[in-house]
Amino acid sequence: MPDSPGIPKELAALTYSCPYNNIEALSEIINEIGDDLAAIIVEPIAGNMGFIPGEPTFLDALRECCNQCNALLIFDEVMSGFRVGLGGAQAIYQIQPDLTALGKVIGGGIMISKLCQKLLMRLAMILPQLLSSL
Amino acid sequence: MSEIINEIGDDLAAIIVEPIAGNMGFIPGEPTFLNALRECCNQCNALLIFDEVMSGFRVGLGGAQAIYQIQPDLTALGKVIGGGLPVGAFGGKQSVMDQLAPLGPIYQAGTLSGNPLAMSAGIALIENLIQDNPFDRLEKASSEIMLHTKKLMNEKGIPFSTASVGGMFGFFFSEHLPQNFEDVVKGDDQMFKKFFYAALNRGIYFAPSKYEAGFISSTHDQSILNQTKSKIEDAIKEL
Repeated sequence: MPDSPGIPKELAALTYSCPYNNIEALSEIINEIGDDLAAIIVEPIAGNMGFIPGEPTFLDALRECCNQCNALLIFDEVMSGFRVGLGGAQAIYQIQPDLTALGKVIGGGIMISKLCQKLLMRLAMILPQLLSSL
Repeated sequence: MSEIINEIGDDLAAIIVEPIAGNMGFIPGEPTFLNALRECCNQCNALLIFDEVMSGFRVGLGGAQAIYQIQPDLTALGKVIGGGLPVGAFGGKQSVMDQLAPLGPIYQAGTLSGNPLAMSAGIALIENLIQDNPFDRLEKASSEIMLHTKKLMNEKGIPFSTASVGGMFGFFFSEHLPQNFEDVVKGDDQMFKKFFYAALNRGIYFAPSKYEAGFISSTHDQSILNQTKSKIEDAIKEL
């Protein structure tokens, strides 16, 4: 939520906050923003408000909105990456985001973060083959 | 700067600056300029922020602010403070830091905040720096290398200027030491490239751009310095 002091109002006004797993609220916001939508960022499996896996229909709707508005779908998989499965939440839901944010597990205990484009799906496809060929 | 301050006036929120710049080659700030920044912030009730990510624990144990005796409201640190591990840090006056959660309303937290491994490495390094106090040695080493280089360049008639503070140094292929980015741009790119590769081919790895600073490590002892000087001499012959 862009509500901490120190974030200028002008910048906060560029961001909309949508209730999680609420397709109706999403539709209202998208109707308001229209083609000005630049990106949607979401934890597909939320770990920052307790633990709430996204509804498949909600996440599909996000992908659909981004396709229609030519906007980027960004999955924050900092927590879910390499925890819910080798391919992260995106492999489970079979939804391909345009960008993926990773951290935590990907560093093997060392401080790291990573921004990937369509990497997890590829890893998910390649790694099992690699591992089984060892 | 006066022009900008006149335009912004009391709307000025903060000034952020590298007091010893390492991101446009190496340019130590003019004391009068840095004092003027402090004065402007005082008058506008704005924050003076020193970016000491490079200079912190390199130019001296107290950073550039100890050298210039100017107290910023906030300081950004990184690199050396992590003792080789990736870390960033900031700190400052209590009145500012008290604004951060959990004491104040500004949310600031993260997975890697206060990471135990990085903190341990950083503390170990700083304890070592306090005990060993290598800064006079570093200052001597960086100026020894740079003055040697300048002497040889001048003998060849190549315009060359250099500066160093503690373990940080920089050099420019221009007659007068640059005072700002606009001056740095004017430096001889072709000559920089030639010298960079001539040195690299002899195992001396300077930063690969005239917009970066150089660092000497406390592990560079006199025999390494002598070796470096003789290889620089060879490299200059090739120019």
